[in-house]
Amino acid sequence: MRQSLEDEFTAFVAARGQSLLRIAHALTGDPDAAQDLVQGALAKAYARWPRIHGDAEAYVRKIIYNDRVSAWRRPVRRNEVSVADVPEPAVDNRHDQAVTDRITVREALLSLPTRQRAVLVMRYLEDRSVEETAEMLGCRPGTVASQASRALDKLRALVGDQRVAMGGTR
Amino acid sequence: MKELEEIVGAAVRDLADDAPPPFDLATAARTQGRRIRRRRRTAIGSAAVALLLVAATPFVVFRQEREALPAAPTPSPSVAEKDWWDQPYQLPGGLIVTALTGSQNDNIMLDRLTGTYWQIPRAYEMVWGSPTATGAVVSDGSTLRVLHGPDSATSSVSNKVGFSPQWSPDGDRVLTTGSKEYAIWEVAAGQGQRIQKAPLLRDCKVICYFTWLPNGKEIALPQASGGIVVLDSETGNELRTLPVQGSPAGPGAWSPDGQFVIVVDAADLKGPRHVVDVRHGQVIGTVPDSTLHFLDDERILSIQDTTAEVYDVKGRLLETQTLPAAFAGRTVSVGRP
Repeated sequence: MRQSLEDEFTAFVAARGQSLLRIAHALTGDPDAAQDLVQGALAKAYARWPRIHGDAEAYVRKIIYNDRVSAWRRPVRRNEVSVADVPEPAVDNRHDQAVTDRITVREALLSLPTRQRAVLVMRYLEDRSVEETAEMLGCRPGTVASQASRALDKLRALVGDQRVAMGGTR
Repeated sequence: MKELEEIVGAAVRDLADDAPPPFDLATAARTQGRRIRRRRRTAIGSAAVALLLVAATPFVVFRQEREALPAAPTPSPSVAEKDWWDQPYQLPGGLIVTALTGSQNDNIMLDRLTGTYWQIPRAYEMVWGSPTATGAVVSDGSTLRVLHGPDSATSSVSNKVGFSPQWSPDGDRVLTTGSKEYAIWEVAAGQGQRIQKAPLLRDCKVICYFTWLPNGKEIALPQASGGIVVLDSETGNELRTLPVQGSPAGPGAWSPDGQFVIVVDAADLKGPRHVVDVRHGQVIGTVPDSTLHFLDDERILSIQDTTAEVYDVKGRLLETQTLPAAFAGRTVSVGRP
């Protein structure tokens, strides 16, 4: 690859690496898995860099989501917490209620199927619309809405109605 | 009572906030990416051979009595429209082309003994020609080696500290940058490499590789926090910091007396390159984004696709030369005749 393209790749990784890792960590909940996911996506981007460098970020993000969802389809499911592992809602009054809710939901999030978690990450971390999420995940907007709804239903069930109230999908 | 969506949003952001810091992502991705490219090429090559076999089988079966065709002549470089490869290709300012790279099949380098160019084996996807001798650093996607000539095997140079190779001005050594250290290969002496730790690489975030200063004894590294640090290449000791913002634009970025350096602005990688006076860090001119080399008389040679131009340090265009059409999209290595 030409030196200017090499430089461009290096600069892209330097500028966007942390942001991509944030997405990957929200998807996997595991630092090593997040690093692997981003590194794999960047490697694929590097292999096609002369063609995709004009729109590299969208390309890499798409790979991250797709690789994560594909990995979930394979037999070994990594980094998922079984429902049984989700802790009971904390009742310790020393913690602020909101913090307790958040930790509980975080654990519950990791128990969701990967595709549902991907939808939530796109919606709540990246603030993407239903249409943008559908385009990124390669499915219909209706599927995104139903996945989000199911995810929130599950979270409500896992966390408990007594602690949080469901707000519905955006 | 909080709505579930709000809590979910906060929990997702919490998860994202716990992401690990990016550690050497670019280097690791490059290594893996080159492997992917190699596999892809191998797969394409295998498919092509399979198709050829399928196409040829009926011919072989039904025309077995046909005499064997004469062997195909040794392929000459397909990069030229005329016979320019039969002699060292002259560039404006008195430099010559020592290698052309950027195509998977037609990377070439100059054999100074015969004065002609020869095609480098396909296994090597990138080539950096020596500025003074017959030889080139070649990359097979994972390691760097040195090719000394058409009939020679590669020398045993190969290491993990292997990115952005830079020939020393005298052509005796090659400098490569790793993630935490740099290495200098004693190519001409046939000796191995010497690796120096370089803590400065921690503060080198965007365009991050060492370049030689024209004296061949010092090397320079741009710092994200500002300035270009000059080190003794032998000891790795920091000697001084130049008040220059930006990263040196490749091996030809330094003027012969070291007073000027052409830099890339990390925030504008596709923008023009700046010529900076290292004494006070002021930009004195701009030149196009291209392969750039200072000439001995402190003019600047710019090569982009099929055009070579010469500028003065203030960025004024002085001379233009059209290059063979097949130079388009290639990176040119230059050297002295």
